[in-house]
Amino acid sequence: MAAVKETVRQVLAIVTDPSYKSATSARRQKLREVIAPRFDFSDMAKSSLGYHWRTLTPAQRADFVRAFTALLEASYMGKIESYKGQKISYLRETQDGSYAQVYTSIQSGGGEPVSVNYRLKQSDGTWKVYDVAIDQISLVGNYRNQFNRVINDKGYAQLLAAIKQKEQSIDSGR
Amino acid sequence: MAVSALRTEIINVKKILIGIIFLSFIGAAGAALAAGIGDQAGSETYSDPLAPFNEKMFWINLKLDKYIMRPVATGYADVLPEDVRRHIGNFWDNVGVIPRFANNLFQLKMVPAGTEVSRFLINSTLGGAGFFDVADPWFGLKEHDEDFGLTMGHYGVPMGPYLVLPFYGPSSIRDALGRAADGAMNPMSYTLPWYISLPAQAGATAASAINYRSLNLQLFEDVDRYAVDLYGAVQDGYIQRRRKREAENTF
Repeated sequence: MAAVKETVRQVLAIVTDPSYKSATSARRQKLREVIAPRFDFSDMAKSSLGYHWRTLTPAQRADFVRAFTALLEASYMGKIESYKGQKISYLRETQDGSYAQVYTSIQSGGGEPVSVNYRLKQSDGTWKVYDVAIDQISLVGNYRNQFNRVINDKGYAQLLAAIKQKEQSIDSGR
Repeated sequence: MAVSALRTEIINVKKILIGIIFLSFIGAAGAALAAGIGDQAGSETYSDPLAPFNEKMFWINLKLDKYIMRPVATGYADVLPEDVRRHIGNFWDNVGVIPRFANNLFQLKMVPAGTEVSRFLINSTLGGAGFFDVADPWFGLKEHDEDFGLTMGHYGVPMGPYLVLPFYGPSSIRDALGRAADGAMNPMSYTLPWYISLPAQAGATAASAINYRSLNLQLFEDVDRYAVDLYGAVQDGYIQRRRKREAENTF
């Protein structure tokens, strides 16, 4: 999965590029351009909703994908931008037909390394990430439990509002 | 309002906790275990029959963390440099060898069980009473963490309903019983009278928890910052990781 390695290399090149130091919005735009083709955000959004996805109209689905993508961006862009030379190691990769997994680990400071595993699916000849497992926890699975709890307790409209609100609070907090 | 409400809350929690302990003794836990946490497939969330108790406990633990653990751990981190705290973490880890060894043995994992003994002997001596983990870099001996919850899982006991424990946080009926069994393996609990061993063990637990918390200040904040539903995020994180460990244990 050279594609994952290449994307990580590009991301690191952008965040360590001193010319972006005072141009955060330009950097974010650049990061988006590099990351977007490698991640299947609409697939991630869909599986994070589970069977509730089927109850949504096409317009609602599009709206949800936008909100979910914005939440992921707000959450992880900030994390990526705070990169301080942590060591990223590529451990191994496995492939089973049109599914693959790339195992990496991130070592920061003197602590235990954190495993970050990318799960990819191939469609139309391109490999795209459909889930990331951080420290053994599937990101999409974790959101699915959260989202469905909120839907069951308060309904879909409340979930969408909560996602949008979370995204804004993360963005304003940085 | 706050104090009396909190007191009622704690009394409720106590009642439910006593109920759970009672139920587990009369064997109703067996039925609860059989019911299991359930797959995400049907309802998309884990079945959480103890949710009313769990959510209250989760809220109390959050307050406990916000007003006690986090401030204490932050102050502690200001006084002690990070590498010193890592060595202290190694020390606590080394001390916990008995349940790790025993549970490897219970699961008939003889080589890892032996590795745990070797690691303890090496780190307690060459590693300066366990403050340095030299067994891993010098001898290539890695820790094999096991607990009684995983041992029960190994022999087919399902995780049972999700359970949020006071202070310890996320667990399950099975894993909470496992935790009690592991605690009973602490030599203090059978060599010293209970009125010494209980406070001493509580003190050791608190000291190692503060040390651990101080090394994970950012991690805890991140989860809180990014989660849409914090309870659900922590619940899923616990269950996913335990299932992963169980899957590694079955062969």
